[in-house]
Amino acid sequence: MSFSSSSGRLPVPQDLLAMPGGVGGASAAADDPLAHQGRTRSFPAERGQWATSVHCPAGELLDELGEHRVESWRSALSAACHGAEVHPVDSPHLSLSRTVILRHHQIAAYTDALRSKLADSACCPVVADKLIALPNDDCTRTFFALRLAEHSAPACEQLVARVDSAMSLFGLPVYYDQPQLHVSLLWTLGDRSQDRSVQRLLDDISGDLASSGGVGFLADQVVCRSGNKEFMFSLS
Amino acid sequence: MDPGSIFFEEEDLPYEEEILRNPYSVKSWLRYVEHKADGRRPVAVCQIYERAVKQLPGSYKLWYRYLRYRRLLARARANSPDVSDADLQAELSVANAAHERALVHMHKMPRIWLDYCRFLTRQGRITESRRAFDRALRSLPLTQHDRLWPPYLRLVRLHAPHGCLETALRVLRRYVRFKPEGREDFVDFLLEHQRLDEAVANLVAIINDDSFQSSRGKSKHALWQELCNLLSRNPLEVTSVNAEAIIRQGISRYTDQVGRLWTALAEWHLRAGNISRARDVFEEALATVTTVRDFSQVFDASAEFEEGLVRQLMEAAEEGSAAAGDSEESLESDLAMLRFEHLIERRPLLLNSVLLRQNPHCVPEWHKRVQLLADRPAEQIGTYMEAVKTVDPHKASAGRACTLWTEFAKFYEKHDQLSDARTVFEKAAAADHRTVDDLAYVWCQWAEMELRHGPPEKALALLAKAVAPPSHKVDFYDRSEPVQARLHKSLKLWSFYVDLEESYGTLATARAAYDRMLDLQIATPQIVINYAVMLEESAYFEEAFRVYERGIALFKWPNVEELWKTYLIHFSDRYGGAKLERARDLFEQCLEHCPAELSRPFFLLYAKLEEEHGLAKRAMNVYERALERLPANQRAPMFNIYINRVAELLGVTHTRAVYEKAIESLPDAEAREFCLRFAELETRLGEVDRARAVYAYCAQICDPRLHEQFWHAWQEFEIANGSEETLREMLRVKRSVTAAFSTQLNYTAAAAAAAGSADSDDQAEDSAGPSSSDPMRALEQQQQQSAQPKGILFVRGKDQEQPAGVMRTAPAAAESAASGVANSNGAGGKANPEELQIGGDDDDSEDSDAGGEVMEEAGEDSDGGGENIEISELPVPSEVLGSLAKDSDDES
Repeated sequence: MSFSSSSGRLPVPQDLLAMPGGVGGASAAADDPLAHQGRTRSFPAERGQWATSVHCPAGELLDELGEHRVESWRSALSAACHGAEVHPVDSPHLSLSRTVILRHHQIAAYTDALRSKLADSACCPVVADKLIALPNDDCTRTFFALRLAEHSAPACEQLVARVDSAMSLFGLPVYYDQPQLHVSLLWTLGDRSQDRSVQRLLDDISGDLASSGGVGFLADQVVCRSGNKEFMFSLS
Repeated sequence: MDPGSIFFEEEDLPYEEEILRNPYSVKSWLRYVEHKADGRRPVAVCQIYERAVKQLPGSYKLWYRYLRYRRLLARARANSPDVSDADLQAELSVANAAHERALVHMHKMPRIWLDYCRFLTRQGRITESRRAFDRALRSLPLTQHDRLWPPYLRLVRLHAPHGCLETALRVLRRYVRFKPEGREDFVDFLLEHQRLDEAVANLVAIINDDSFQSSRGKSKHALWQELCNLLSRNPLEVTSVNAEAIIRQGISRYTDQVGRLWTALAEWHLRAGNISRARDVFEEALATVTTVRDFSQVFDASAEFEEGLVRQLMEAAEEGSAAAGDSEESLESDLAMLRFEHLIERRPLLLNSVLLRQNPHCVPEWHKRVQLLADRPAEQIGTYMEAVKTVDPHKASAGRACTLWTEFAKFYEKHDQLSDARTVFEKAAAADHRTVDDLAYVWCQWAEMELRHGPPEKALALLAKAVAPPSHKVDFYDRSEPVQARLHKSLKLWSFYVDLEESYGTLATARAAYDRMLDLQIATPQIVINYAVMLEESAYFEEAFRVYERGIALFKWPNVEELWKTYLIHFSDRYGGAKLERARDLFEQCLEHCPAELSRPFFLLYAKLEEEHGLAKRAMNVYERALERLPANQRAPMFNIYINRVAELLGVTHTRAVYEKAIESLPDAEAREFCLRFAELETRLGEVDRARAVYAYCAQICDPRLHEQFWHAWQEFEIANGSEETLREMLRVKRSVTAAFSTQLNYTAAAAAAAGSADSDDQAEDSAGPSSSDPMRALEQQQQQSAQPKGILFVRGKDQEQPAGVMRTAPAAAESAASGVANSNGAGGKANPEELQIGGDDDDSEDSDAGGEVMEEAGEDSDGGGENIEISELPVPSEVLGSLAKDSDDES
């Protein structure tokens, strides 16, 4: 029997490490970043863990912007990022929470809680007038997002607060302290938020947007996405 | 032979002539021989024989007779003292020559050969006889060798010790080739003559010969043993075979002799002077034997061997020190000593190995092994690893295989290697287990470890992971599914998880967990109660009550009892009288399906609720219902409570009805008690007449011989409250009751004996319960009624024991009794003495008067007070019993 020994510590038999289960075993699904455009998981996919987030769908925003405008931004940003590939976000949305982990048995209770919290919330008109670059928590990706205009933020922040209260019921992390409410449109790998050229381009685009009075949509429903399930909550 | 030399006498002539006529007739020759065989001239006989065999050389008959004659002749010569040795030798050689001549023609005749050989043997001509045997063997066909070998073997055996061993061996070898069954004898012979090598070779040949059948009924096994013994005892002498290989083969073949054979092998090496090889063999044996018996055999031999070695070296060292004091020798003896000690030290471990080899799935032995290796962590790890790899959880005996995993992980935990402990748990969670419970145990142990060492969130996350449902639906009891897939329904795991959620999670997460448990239908009533209590503590009362309702819907009676109890208590505590109707509904719902024997606490709770928040009347109603519902053995305490409550709520006077009901519905033993208390109550209230009526009523179930206490109490009462008449009346009743009880045929000597211990009897009656006493009672009453006329006679008979005055009035008593019977025909045999007192109906008044008078007269002193008594007593019983009767009517 061979041991993987290290000084001072008791060895762990190689046979044990070779057994199925746990980190070295077969049950951990191999995570291949290439399979999804170079993205990496923030937490491992595991049975019973349901990645959950709450957001308002913002498909209307895309319609209003027009496909060609987003496309032109995309190519410009790609050029500014020295040719790095910039991808459009699949379904643009206005995030109201972080991505948290729910257990399977908690999903129903959580959505119930969320429903009761959002029960008497009103629709809020959303206006965005600025394109910004936001890195994700572990700085592996940068999102290019439309930031909400200052006058439309408070209504959405109220929604965020309601979602937060549901989160805290389950001991889950609440949204960021100083929320930068935004609708992500494009993303690229790596942290590009500090690039000078990117900044300049973003400022230009933001100027254009602000001058045209920004783009907007009416947030009339909240979606809670948990794993592959989606729960809709309509706002009055 | 020359014809001229033929000499014959006169009387031989006819024979000679016949021979001349028929020279080839065996018969005529034989006749001639017979004629001459008178013993006077053996030479002549021999001559005739010679002539005969010359004429007829192919005649077996002639040759045989001739040779026999010759041998007899030679023997006779040998026995006669006056024959010189030279003569004898000459005679013998002639005889031998005759045999030789005969064999020229008769070489196919085994008889001739045998006789010749034997003859030669007798003469002590060893070599010649041997050659004769050899020639015989050569000339006779193989089928006839059987007859030759025994004498031949006898010969060589006889002479083997005297310098002919080699010859004997050669002969025997030939014999063995002819007849392999004779090998055993050959082996014995060889052993006898110290030819061990050849003996072993032959033994091996015997054992290798599958068709060999031992002539001595020895089994192959026995032969093996013999061989092994031989080999081990004589390592140096045996060179032709590979002793080690043979013994090892024996070890693999004869599992029941493994210990012995190993010892033999070691001994073989030892005797060959190969000490280190012997030690190796012992080690090998200790490492391979599978039974404790073999182990101890080998171990003892091994220990003995080492000890002997030590002793030997010590002695040598002593001698050496006397001479020179060689340091090398002392080192050697130290080494031997160490070896010996090492061996003794290792014994428990070796024994443990044996047991594990015997049953590798014996979990406690693995644990024991780890303990034995206490100071050697690396080996402990190795042992754990081997254990978890070897033990098949489905075959694990005397323990659960999962404990090996958890102990393995705890081992790392003890050495502050948490990450490694986690690795072990990870593997354990993925490993096979016999039951879901085992896997749950592993997870719980893991979570407990995390709790001990870190933030509870980690343990919580771990358990949440464990209870995650699998991707497809799985039946918990489906054994074909792996335990991992069924784990999410493990009650143990969920209980632990909800416990942790309750302690460390939020209310919402704990609720989610509890709800899932209820959904999975794995909750126990206790879990439901815990859930509800948790909600109540967080002031979610309605939710808590909903949980109770859910739990109650899940379980059946009697499991749901505790749940209902907690629910009702908590509900009452919470709302008091605020939601009385809902509470009542709950109680009704509960009592609807509640089995009678479990319903008491619920009735009490219900009554309490009604008393505190509702109406007293409703409370009383609940008590009434309880008394109807409860089984008989629980009724008496309930009556007690009821009476107390009634006295408190409605006043003492209202308890009368309850007492009456109690007396009516309870079995006799308990009814007596209530009667006494009822009477006491009445006495206290000053209602002397009522009290007396109660006593009188109770008297009919109190046998004076068994229930002295009652009669004593009545007497006390009468002394305190009554008059002389009432006292007398009491005595009268007592007598009549005595009479009534004595009429019962069932009143046996045993009952009389029991009178001394009336109390214990009462208790027995109490515990006997309604089912056993009621039918008996009914039977007794039936008999009492049917035997009524007879009973009266008995009264008289009994009275005869009384003072003489009674005897005088006895006929009168009989008369009146008879009239009583006549009168009461219609009333179904109501002529009980008790009836005289209490049955105060108008119809019966005459009867009772008459009876009263009779009894009065029987009481010796006649006075006119009888009528007064009747007048004063009449109204009261009618009231008492009237109400009773009414109640019973209502009930029915």
